Amino acid sequence: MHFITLTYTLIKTQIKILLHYRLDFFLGVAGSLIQQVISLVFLISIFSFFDSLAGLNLYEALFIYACFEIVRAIDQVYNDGIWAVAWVKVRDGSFSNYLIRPLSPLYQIITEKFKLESITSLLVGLVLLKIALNNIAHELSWQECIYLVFFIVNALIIFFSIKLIAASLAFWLTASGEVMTLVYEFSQFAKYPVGIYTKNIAKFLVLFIFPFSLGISAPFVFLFGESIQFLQWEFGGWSLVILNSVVTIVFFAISLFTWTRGIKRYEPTGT
Amino acid sequence: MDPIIIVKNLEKSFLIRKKSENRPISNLLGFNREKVTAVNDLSFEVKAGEIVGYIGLNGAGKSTTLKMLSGLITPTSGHCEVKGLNPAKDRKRLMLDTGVVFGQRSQLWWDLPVIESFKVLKKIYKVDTSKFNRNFDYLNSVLDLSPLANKPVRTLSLGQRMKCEIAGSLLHGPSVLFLDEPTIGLDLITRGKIRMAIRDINREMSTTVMLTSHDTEDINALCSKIIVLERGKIVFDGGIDHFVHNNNKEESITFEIEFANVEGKNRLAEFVNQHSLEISNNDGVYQISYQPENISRGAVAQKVLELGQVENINFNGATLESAITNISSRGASVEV
Repeated sequence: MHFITLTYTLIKTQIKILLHYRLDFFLGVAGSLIQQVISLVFLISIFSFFDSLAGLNLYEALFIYACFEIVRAIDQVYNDGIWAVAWVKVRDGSFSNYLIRPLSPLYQIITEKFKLESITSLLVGLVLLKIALNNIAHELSWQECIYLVFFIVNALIIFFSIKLIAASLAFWLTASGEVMTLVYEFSQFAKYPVGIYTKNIAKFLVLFIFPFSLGISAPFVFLFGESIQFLQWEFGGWSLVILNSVVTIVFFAISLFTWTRGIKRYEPTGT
Repeated sequence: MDPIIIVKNLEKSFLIRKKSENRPISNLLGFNREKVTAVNDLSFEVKAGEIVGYIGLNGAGKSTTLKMLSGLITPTSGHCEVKGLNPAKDRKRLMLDTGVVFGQRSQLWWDLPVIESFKVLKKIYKVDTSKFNRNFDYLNSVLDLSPLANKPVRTLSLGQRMKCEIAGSLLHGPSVLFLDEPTIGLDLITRGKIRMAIRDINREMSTTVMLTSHDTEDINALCSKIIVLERGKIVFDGGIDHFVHNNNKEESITFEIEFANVEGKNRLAEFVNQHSLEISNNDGVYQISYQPENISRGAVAQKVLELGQVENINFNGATLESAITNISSRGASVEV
């Protein structure tokens, strides 16, 4: 109970602070909308040259793109504070502030910053998902909705874990903002179906090393009875659920491990 | 009373990058590392309700110790406990009953008015409303917070912010308070107020306080006990008077004098010889050094005043400051 009211208080506090910087907020909203429009125009223009992308038509590709937008938007809304850890908080020692509170640092980082402007991306993502489903002429049953939510939660955990691993490196490197930016850029590959990565090495990267694509493509592959091929293996249906879950759990475990190890070797700056 | 902080053989060392001329690649990759010991073999105890001054020069390891005690960094070896808890392991539980203020670092919400920050802290530390109001009223009376309450933290001056930081760290009525240079950068008046506040809080809430400061006035005014750290090692642990006495073997008195008669100069030399004191004359400014255990300051002064018209008389008595200077310079000469 205390946990819930505390979280509510901390979120309320963040929104109060956000209201101090209204212009910044609206510029953020405008910026993320422009970014969306550009990506979308790019995706549509691909289909003006080709009829299909790795065997998918425009609306099937749009389904994957919508999943990407939804996951990335939610991730940005709740988990944006971690960037500050990678860029400055370890370097300038302000990470200490998390440690003098009777709360876990991760909880504080998450409740410390809400990027509300990304909610617009989330809405756009949901609208695109609806458009894609309408045009594929597929009505999601309630079981399918649960699967979709399950895969989206897994994808969120993958985003969370990869960002956390990159941020943890700051404890070894003093600052890891550049590393985190680089790693996060890999999520851009997840906008498109896995099938377009024909080279095994590229597929291996987007499925297992930076498994954004595995997380984002999974709902489409599972719900529409497709499969992901890698070398001689084929993952579809339940084998995809298992692969997706295992990779998610492994990354989550690695991220918590590096994070706790990192905190142990944290060296605050002199005061 | 039982000790509330126990430290045994505590050590913290860091690996720092070291450059080696003939190994450029290893330099780049940071393979050449050197172990630097920040504090070594610390052992001490602090009793509940005490105000302990933790003093030493820059880099002696004061902050490092406080950071280990508040769970910010993990000791390399040894044992420390606060309220029976291991700070590195039970950090969250310990912090619920501990206040920490690190001099130049703000832990309040930069964009929020002070009172809003306090309300968030109230929630974080699970303080119920009646306790919060009681503590806030008390801190308000000691630190005079009302004029600041509705200002955003970022608009406060350093002194104002420091008051709020200290108040913020005490809202939940912790039984232990760690203060790392609470008066740094503050003016005389504000420093005095903060000092009084710390003393009042210690009495009223029986908070155990461990503080570091470079201002010996802080230490003199507040601390019943001091722990002196030098190059990561404890060189003294006990009462201030004892420390001052032990580390000031010599006091001195400087003065300018116009001797009443010719005899005067000789009689001074005779007095100096008789008590085997040291005397120097620098452009008419005399300095006589004496050992307080052999001859009292009064006796020396009386003799000097007898001999003529004295101007600009100064007593360089034993102070905490001179004691710290003495042990530090002794340490330096040992190293040379």
